[in-house]
Amino acid sequence: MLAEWGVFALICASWMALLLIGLAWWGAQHEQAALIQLAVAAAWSVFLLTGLAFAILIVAFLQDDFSLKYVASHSSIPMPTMFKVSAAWGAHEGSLLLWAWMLTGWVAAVAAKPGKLSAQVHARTLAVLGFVSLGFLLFILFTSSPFERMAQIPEDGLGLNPLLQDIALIMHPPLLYMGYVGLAVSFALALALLWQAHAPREAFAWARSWTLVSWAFLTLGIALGSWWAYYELGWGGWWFWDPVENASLLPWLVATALIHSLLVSEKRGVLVGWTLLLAILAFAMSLVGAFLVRSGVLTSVHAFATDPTRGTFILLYLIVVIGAALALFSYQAPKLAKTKPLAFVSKESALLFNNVLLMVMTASVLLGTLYPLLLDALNLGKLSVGPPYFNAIILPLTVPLALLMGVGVFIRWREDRVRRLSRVLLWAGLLSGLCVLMGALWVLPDVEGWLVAGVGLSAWVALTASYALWHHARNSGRLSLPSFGAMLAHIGFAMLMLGVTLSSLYGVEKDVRLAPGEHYALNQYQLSFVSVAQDAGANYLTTQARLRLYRGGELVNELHPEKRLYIGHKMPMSEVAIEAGLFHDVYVALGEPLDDQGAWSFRIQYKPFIRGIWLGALLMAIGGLIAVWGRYRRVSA
Amino acid sequence: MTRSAWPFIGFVLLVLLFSIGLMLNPREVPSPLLNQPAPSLQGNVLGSSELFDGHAYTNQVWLLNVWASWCSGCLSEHPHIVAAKQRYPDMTWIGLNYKDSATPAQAWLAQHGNPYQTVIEDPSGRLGLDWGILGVPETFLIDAQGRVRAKWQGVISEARLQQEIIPAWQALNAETER
Repeated sequence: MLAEWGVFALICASWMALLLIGLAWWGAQHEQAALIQLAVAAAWSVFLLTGLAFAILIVAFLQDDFSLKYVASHSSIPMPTMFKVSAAWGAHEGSLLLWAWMLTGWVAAVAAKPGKLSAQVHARTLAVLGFVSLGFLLFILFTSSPFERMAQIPEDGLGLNPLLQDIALIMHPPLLYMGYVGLAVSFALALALLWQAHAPREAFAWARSWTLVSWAFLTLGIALGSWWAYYELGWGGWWFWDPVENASLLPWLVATALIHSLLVSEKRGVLVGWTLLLAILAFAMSLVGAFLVRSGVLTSVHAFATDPTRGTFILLYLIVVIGAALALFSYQAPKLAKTKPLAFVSKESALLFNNVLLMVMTASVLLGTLYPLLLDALNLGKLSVGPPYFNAIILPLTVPLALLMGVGVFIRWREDRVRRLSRVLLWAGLLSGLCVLMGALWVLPDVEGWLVAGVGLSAWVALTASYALWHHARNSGRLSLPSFGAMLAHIGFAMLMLGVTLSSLYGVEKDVRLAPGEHYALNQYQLSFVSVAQDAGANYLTTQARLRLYRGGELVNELHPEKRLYIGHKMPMSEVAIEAGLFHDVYVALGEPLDDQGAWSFRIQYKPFIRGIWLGALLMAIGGLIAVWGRYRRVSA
Repeated sequence: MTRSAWPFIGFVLLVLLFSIGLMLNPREVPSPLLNQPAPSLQGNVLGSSELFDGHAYTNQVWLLNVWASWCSGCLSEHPHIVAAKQRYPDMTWIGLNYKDSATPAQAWLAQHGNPYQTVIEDPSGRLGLDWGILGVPETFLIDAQGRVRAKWQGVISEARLQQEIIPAWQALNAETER
């Protein structure tokens, strides 16, 4: 019976969302504070009801209620409790419910925290958010209900895809969805502002905090997914330019542009139309991503099981929500107050250039992702676009972006002088050159062009950010949290660039055959293969190898790469063993048995500073959150 | 029309692309073997130790049908192949018995009829790998020069046979005679 209550909760939530739209819009049109108050209550009830539905789904998983098709297809009795809970968002239906619940959570938070928004703008923002939520709730109810019953109840379920039975993958979707749906807030605000064709600076300040939070979540979610791919898929890559990965990168790129453009609009009241457009596009990209992942128009290693009605629904939703938003933009944007042209040498311009670069990256990634679809639609054949295209486009664009990041933190608002700027930046430039030189000497004679670029730009971004922070603290006599957060994020980006550069240029990847007792030398390490043994886990059988890792004759660690065969699944899963260090990883994946002498194939990798990629992303996210916290304290102080 | 309408126009185009995309199936991929020399087809003739060499069939048009006794789709397409062979006795069908064993495969042919000139065993699926077989049944059309000219994935229905396979085979034959 419980599951029917879940459906009932979702139906109630949909009606409350409808009520929210009506109350908030009516309240805004007629400036009735009482109605807006009711709308706030409606927003909370939508959140609670959707949360109830989600809780019921988790209970169904914990109770092994295999009469539910969704539970039967994604859970099984022997699965550990932790994975039973996370299986709730392990596939399309449940993940959509999680997505909807988080969205309604953001709506409830927006309802509770109007900040300095005028009552009218706040109410209209809520109305748009109510509309966005309603779409998702109806999507679940009509095409993707996780509460669907089966006529025949199986004894046991099929179990969760073993790839997903992993701690990082428990966290990955919630973080990512928090980011995706959080972008709905600035989207809704943009529509509310466009409606009245007037965008005060306080509104941008308000939107910036919300956007930073969702950007931080998005960053964490993407990084976690990349980290998971690195240790779980067994090939040691961390980014594959797969359509689904691109689907998460697209909103991230636009959101990154948006947080910088919001800064300009907040501080200087310019670039208003551009900022509003970015706010629409950022959320549009999360919906486009959802469409690409869930509709089946593109093949991908991790697309959801697809069904054309779902694709049709998301497309309709996209047309209504984004189409209406862009139509409103095209109609209202010309009415926004005109501002004076920007001075070329100014922070405004630097941030605008950075925005343009990020949007060019977005367009390139979108083009590469959609190109197979485009050719297919024009009947010009089938192909797939892979890493060579994306790397060839994105890497060169990163160079001016990183250069501008250094300039952007120093350059003054309104207008700056090139002479003053170059005096400040000269030292950072010289020091970055020194870093390149040291790096080159270190890897001699293996110096490559991208090393110079990667190390130089990382040093440049990190040095300028640190120096700007110090400079700012000395001049104002205190450390401002928002700028600390921003500079931390810049340093994180520098770390990420360095990690990408070093691990891809100087990584070693070898597929080797080892018999027990044999050694393999890998840079400063020696790996010695000891034995292989069979074992059983909670819901899998495993073949585990023992290898000893020596450094200069001294034992560093024993590594245990595994191949697991999960019950009910045919594909073996590799569990790699990683000797992780800040400066390098030794990565061992167990391959196949090769002959009667007990030899096995191994994939052995040495990845210098690959941790920089995820640590950098972590710093970026922490930086974003610190900035929000600092802004919040400043507002409340 | 102002500049601010450009994003909307771009969006309309994107939606158009997505709508077309929904009607396509990205998993339907043409064989990379198309118009390429057919991979070698060397294996044991079903149930014997006699070796078969696919090169024996150069200079004529032939069809390769991949099947297995465990495959229900094969059973449903089989009567159509048998009927086609009866109507066009000079149609050369070669069977590739994919991931199967000889005893049930021979029993299956005895029960449902054998339209094949020869059936080659591929118990481990190695030949299937060379031919890029994703699942059974699959059917290839090979021309007199030994090139793969067409490929049909999945069950051959009566309509598919009449409208696609037989016309393609006849066209290739006409091409050869010219």
